[in-house]
Amino acid sequence: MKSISEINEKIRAGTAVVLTAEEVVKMAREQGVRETAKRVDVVTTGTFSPMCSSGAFLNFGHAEPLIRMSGVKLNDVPACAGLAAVDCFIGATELSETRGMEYGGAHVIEDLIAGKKVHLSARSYGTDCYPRKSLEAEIGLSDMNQCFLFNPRNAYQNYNCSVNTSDRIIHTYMGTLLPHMANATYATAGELSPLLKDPELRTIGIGTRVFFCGAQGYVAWEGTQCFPGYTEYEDGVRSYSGATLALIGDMKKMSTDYIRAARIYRYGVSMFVGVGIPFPVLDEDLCAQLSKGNDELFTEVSDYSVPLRSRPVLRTRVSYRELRSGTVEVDGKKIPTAPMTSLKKSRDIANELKRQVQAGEFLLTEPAAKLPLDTTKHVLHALDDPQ
Amino acid sequence: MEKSVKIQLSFHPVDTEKPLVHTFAARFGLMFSILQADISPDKGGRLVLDLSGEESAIEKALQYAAGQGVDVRVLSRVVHWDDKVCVHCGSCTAVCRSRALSLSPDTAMLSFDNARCVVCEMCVKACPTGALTVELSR
Repeated sequence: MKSISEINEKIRAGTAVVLTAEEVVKMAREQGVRETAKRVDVVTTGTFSPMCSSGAFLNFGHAEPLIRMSGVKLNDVPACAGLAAVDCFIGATELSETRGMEYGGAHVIEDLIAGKKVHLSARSYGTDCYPRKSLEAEIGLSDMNQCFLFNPRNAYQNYNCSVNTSDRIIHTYMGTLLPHMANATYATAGELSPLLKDPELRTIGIGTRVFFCGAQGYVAWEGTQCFPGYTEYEDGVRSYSGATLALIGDMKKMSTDYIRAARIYRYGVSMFVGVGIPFPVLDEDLCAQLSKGNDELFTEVSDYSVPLRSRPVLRTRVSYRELRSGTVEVDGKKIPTAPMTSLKKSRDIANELKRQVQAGEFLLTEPAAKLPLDTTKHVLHALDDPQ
Repeated sequence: MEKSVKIQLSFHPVDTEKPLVHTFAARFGLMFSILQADISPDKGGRLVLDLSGEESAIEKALQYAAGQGVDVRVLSRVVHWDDKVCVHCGSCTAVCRSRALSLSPDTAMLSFDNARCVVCEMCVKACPTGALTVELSR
């Protein structure tokens, strides 16, 4: 048994043993979980995947004469200005009014992080205290006050593998799915994926420090649609899914090496978000979870040609090892697989986080509060809902 | 002058029995590799070839094919992959039937084998970062 403060002492002293999730899987197989738990202090994870529920709060600073912005566009992408005078929130998936799906909020965020200027166009109705009615400006990240990413739903614990059984090509947020199950896509970094490694959220909570797009960010809250749970198979093996995180972090410290805009054909704009979480190896139980490899982590294959709340599940218990092999078997047919998550970038993040922990630049945190494990899932009943 | 071109031949059902590719090699002295073939005698189909040889011989061979009632299209567009823009997600590999685009099992990095590319351009749409574009070849 180790405590987080003991591990932090070792990190400060430069003596902590830090492994990436891929490395710890290998070590546990060679030396056993007990030995690994004794020897390893921290395990780093990483993921780099399109995460639509992302966006940024920006504060422009005040202009002369003063304006209370009621309508804001950045490079023709509308931002939500229903906040105080010069605050706004730009959502990653918001589309440009002039370029449509070619450019969106995620591109504005990427351009700003890359150090580029964007065109701000603001409108107002004018008040006695804020008389100005319009404003145009070219602004960059360094010209503004606080700019922080606040992503309501990131780092999905697990995600399904998608296929299309229909006879036409479909364009989804899981990519282009060819007819008659001619391809399958999946979007989780498997054994590197943060929330699969502490599936019961023992060490992650509100206030946990995380690697967030190159900056040190924090878990702000449970993510939206955070419904932690698991499926138990006949042999007692559990497959966890459903947990998500709301993350916050300083845009000015981020790097486009770890955050990029994504254009998903005929779906829209999304954002590749790079997240890494370091886990303290507190005991053998946690070490056993951290050591789970791609052959012990599972998802299911869903049919995306059915655009309903519950899509038909065509196969359960598909391991990430199988998905990574290049094909997945469904109904006796071998279907070529392709990831949406960059394994290369996920690895880069786990390695960079390992370097930062080893260098004493990144300390672990005791959560300020636990995340709820018993959230209730609600659905939306439209007025025209037949049920 | 030696030259290499990618061409697509579209056959009508009645033309599928003609030994066209053999003629390219035997009569015009061209080297060929078949990049994609989808032909059946009752339906016709298409054949994507990489032809190399003397430029004048290629021209004559293509004229010969057109004279045989085969629809000839020179694939003059090439796919360009910009590895600096690429994030190695692998979304493009989902639609690349010719397997020109693949992820290395070791490094997890994307690689692009231009020789296998049939310029279907599916990857250009599937790429989320704009790392794959189509250019006109010389």
